[in-house]
Amino acid sequence: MEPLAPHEKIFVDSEFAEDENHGALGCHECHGGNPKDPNWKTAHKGVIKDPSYPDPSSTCGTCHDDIAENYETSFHVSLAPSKKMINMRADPDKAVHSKVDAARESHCNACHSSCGQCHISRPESVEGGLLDGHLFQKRPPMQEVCTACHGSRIGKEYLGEIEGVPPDIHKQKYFKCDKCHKADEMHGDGKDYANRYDVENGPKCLDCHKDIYDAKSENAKNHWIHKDQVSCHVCHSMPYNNCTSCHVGKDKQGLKFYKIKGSFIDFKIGINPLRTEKRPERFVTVRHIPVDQGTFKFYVKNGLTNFDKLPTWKLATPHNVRRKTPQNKTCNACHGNEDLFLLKKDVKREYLKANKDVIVPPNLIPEKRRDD
Amino acid sequence: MSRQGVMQAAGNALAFAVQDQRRIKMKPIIKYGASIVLTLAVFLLVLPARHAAWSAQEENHCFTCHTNARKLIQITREIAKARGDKPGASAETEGEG
Ligand code: HEC
Ligand code: HEC
Ligand code: HEC
Ligand code: HEC
Ligand code: HEC
Ligand code: HEC
Ligand code: HEC
Ligand code: HEC
Repeated sequence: MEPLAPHEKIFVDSEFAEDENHGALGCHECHGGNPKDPNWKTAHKGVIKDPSYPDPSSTCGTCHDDIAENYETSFHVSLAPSKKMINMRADPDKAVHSKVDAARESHCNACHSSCGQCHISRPESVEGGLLDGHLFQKRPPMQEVCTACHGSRIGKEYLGEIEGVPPDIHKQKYFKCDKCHKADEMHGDGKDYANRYDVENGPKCLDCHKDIYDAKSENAKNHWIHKDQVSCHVCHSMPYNNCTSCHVGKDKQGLKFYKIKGSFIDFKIGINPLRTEKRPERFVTVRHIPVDQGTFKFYVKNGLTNFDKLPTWKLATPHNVRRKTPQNKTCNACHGNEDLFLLKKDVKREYLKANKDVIVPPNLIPEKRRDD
Repeated sequence: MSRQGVMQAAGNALAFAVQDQRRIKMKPIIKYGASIVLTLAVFLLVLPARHAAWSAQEENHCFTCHTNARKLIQITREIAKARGDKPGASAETEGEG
């Protein structure tokens, strides 16, 4: 997305004064600064750019206390999973661990959101700037907000930006992200989850598609056979983006950088690494994520000695759902089709151990069906 | 104090005043004078709230400047010039984040 021009980023629509809920608040009540000073240089002394981060309790929270209450547990603020996952992979030695921690905080914590970065401004990742002249947006706009951050994977999938792959069927039904991801999920619920997929207020395909199991449904039999064994995405998602080998560091001028060696479009079925009562499927789509043994090596040698504790092919729910997909065209497009499954040969040698529970043993690949 | 806070304080003051007038027997002139003082006090308390309510439109240099595109263009150019062409992000970044 094109960044806004510098003056557009800070242009306030005079209509803001007419917002009966927020327009009566003085700018300085949220941002600080001196509204009586006509000299912009001195008037901005002490101004806070984002008064809703890290703590919105004295700004938005004075009126939206119910929403601000759980704010800290929203992943958009806590970034809890990335922290917990890196911690699990990190070397237990205190000195090494703290270096990994510092590098992660410096590089990964920059991508967070806030009340303001969903409802008022574009996120920093696209250089910020007001969404619509400071008018508060009830529904954060999909492309200026959500996919500005969730761009290289979900955004590309959902909007149909992967060559040869159509957009998500729900995009074509005019769904925006918030049709499935509701305010309760976005605002956090006070629980400190370890994984994105543990979040309880998140959407489920079956919230809206229970009728696929109705006797009169066209594909009821097919859906029943695979119920709780094979995830919806295994049959309904198209190939999606995968990334490898992210390394972070600082250049000669001291500016932070990251390098992601490769990304590739692929589709792989693996063994569910997060199998639970609520997520009982044995077979799910898996995506390669960019973490690597050497991700933080610029800062600390052998920082991630427990790298193999977690896989690099992870449970995925790609956002390019289609009714018809290459793998669900016929039963045997999938049954007996080794290419679709994550086998030992698909995994780089240095990542074999980490993925041992995700790799599909050949004897578990469903057999070719004779009646197809 | 927040706007609601000020309103509440004003309300409280008024409630107290009424109670006081009922309880204490006062000479009419004092009573009259007191009520003027009280009315004034209440006004003074409510005034900041009114001011806050309108500050987005009036006597607020933040608002007048940030709603003036021409002025913002001029200032952002000034800032850009002062900053020079210092890079904001490393040129070594590669690949999709
Ligand atoms: C209710 C609190 C609140 C009030 C009142 C308020 N703002 Fe903001 N403003 C915010 C938040 C939150 C953001 C988002 C900051 C972010 O995303 O980094 C923001 C963003 C901005 C930005 C964009 C910052 C950037 O670089 O992206 C400008 C400029 C701004 N406000 C100016 C004003 C002016 C001028 C007024 C008064 C007319 C005002 N604000 C009133 C909360 C407030
Ligand atoms: C002075 C009280 C107050 C403050 C402070 C406040 N809000 Fe609101 N806000 C309201 C009220 C009242 C409503 C309308 C009722 C509702 O939707 O909850 C509202 C509505 C909203 C809406 C829905 C807008 C719509 O069109 O329906 C959003 C989004 C919002 N606020 C975000 C924020 C954010 C973000 C902040 C902090 C930067 C904030 N508010 C600060 C009182 C406030
Ligand atoms: C990750 C993005 C995100 C963040 C961060 C976020 N919100 Fe929201 N907010 C949403 C979405 C999505 C909705 C639902 C919009 C809709 O109705 O479809 C929403 C709805 C709202 C509403 C409308 C009332 C409601 O509950 O539906 C208000 C008010 C609001 N948010 C305020 C806040 C405040 C205050 C904060 C910070 C404490 C905040 N939001 C942080 C995404 C966000
Ligand atoms: C500033 C960047 C940013 C913006 C804007 C943003 N996200 Fe996120 N989002 C993140 C990050 C970072 C995480 C993951 C944190 C982690 O796992 O540690 C996340 C996690 C999520 C999750 C999984 C966790 C959960 O809370 O359920 C969902 C779903 C999600 N985002 C949807 C959205 C939607 C919908 C929008 C737009 C309304 C949005 N995001 C806007 C950065 C962003
Ligand atoms: C048709 C419903 C639907 C729409 C529309 C939708 N999602 Fe999702 N999303 C889901 C489901 C279902 C999951 C998996 C939740 C689970 O299994 O716990 C999910 C998971 C996620 C996750 C967490 C997993 C991951 O891949 O990181 C993020 C982030 C996310 N969605 C972002 C978005 C964004 C951004 C948009 C808009 C571009 C969007 N979603 C639109 C249904 C939807
Ligand atoms: C918020 C409700 C909602 C959620 C959640 C949702 N869908 Fe849908 N889905 C719809 C609607 C509405 C349609 C359009 C139905 C129509 O046009 O008949 C649709 C269409 C579809 C279609 C095409 C059906 C057809 O007849 O062409 C498929 C396949 C599908 N969804 C699968 C999924 C999968 C897989 C998930 C989980 C990742 C999911 N849906 C999540 C509401 C939802
Ligand atoms: C084993 C493969 C498979 C799995 C697993 C699967 N589906 Fe399907 N689904 C199909 C096929 C095949 C069709 C029909 C495609 C066509 O029209 O050619 C279909 C059709 C649909 C339709 C269209 C309406 C209907 O009832 O036929 C929806 C909606 C749908 N699936 C949703 C889901 C959801 C939600 C899940 C997960 C709970 C799921 N599917 C799991 C294979 C599967
Ligand atoms: C995209 C992949 C996919 C498609 C398409 C698919 N299946 Fe399957 N099916 C599987 C997987 C994976 C299993 C193994 C589930 C397990 O072991 O838990 C399976 C298991 C089964 C089983 C259980 C016995 C066995 O062979 O392991 C039957 C029966 C079955 N499928 C029938 C069908 C029929 C009939 C069709 C076509 C209408 C079909 N499947 C289409 C993936 C698929």
